[in-house]
Amino acid sequence: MAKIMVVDDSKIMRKILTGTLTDAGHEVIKDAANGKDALDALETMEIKPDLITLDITMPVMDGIEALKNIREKYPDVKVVMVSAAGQKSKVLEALKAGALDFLQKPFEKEDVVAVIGKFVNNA
Amino acid sequence: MFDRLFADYLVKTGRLNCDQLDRIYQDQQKKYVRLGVIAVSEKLMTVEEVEEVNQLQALYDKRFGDIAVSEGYLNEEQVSRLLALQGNPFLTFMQAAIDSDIIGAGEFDDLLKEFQKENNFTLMNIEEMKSCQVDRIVPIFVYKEPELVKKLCGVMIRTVSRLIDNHVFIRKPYVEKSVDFEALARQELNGDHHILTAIAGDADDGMMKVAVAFAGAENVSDRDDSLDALCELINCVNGLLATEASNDDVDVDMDAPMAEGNKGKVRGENVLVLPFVACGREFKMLITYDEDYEVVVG
Ligand SMILES: [Mg+2]
Repeated sequence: MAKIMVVDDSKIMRKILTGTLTDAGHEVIKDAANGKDALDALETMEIKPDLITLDITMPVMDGIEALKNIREKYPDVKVVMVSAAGQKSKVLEALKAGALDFLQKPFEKEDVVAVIGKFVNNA
Repeated sequence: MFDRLFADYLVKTGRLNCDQLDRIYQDQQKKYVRLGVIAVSEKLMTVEEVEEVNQLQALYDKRFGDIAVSEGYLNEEQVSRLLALQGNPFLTFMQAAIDSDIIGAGEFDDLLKEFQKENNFTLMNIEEMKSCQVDRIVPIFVYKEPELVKKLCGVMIRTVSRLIDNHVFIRKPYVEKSVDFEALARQELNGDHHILTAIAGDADDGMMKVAVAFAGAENVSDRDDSLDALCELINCVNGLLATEASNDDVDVDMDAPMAEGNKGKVRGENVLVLPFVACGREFKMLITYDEDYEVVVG
């Protein structure tokens, strides 16, 4: 079981991810609707998440910029991208910036659980 | 897809009422089309030849395909193609309509010809549509537009078919300077092209039905959620398009989708409208391509 933060501008997508991860035995300790809100939340959280699922296409601050900030400030927090924007350039940029994996939307719930499980089970 | 499209035509022209249609749909789910029916529909065998093979089948305990091959009516390759067609929704629809005595076998063919004529479809178009494959049907309706727009329409209908309603069908697209909406989910694409992709929602519960199919009933509680789900659907569709385009070195970048919960209009020189019916409701997919547009609310 891991402590997870879900970042996505779509409320529906946050609900789907939260439900999926909770059903798989994880605890979603926080969610945020854009990169800036996520960074603000991280700053005030006493217990940081083990892993963040991060969308890319979001207003205010997109996921790539948020990823770079998160990796710099919280290098222990793992990040998996969950995004519709699966262009080669985006995937490469995210992996280069330190994302552990890239899940493209629309996803199968089992795939989300499997991918996240790879990185938190041995945490 | 074509079964629903054709059924829509039959209801609109008054040939079928809703009760009859419900009966056919119920029956259709149980159907496994007989190979002989498909062989005739595919014009590989005549009705007489099929009857002859049926009689031989009653005599010997052999499969239809095997006898048709040994009698020289079909070759192995044709048999495997016909077998692949057995679950085809248009054929199961046809068989259900005929078996329930709602439409006669001969009449069915006449109705199909009328449908073809009234919609200015070619015989080739009808054959493509009978495949019920989204990738073969969408290009019959959307053919004048630039390549990327054609792809976008294809990805949208394929995604709706896969995630929301596998009975989705489209109506003829048209171009307007102003399109009214009750609610709007939209996303702008930038990069090598400037495209608006939007779905105009309805005033009643259609959006909710689509949202529930997309996100699950437990995640959708009100109209805002429904619109949010439509936005995320568009986001997924555009993401798939952008991914596909990136393999051809076409740069497509997505802005965050936006929801408009109030009535309004989309205005532009050429707003392409592709109506599609999902979960029993008509939605309008709106697209503008490389030109300015405006969304006016109120
Ligand atoms: Mg997003």
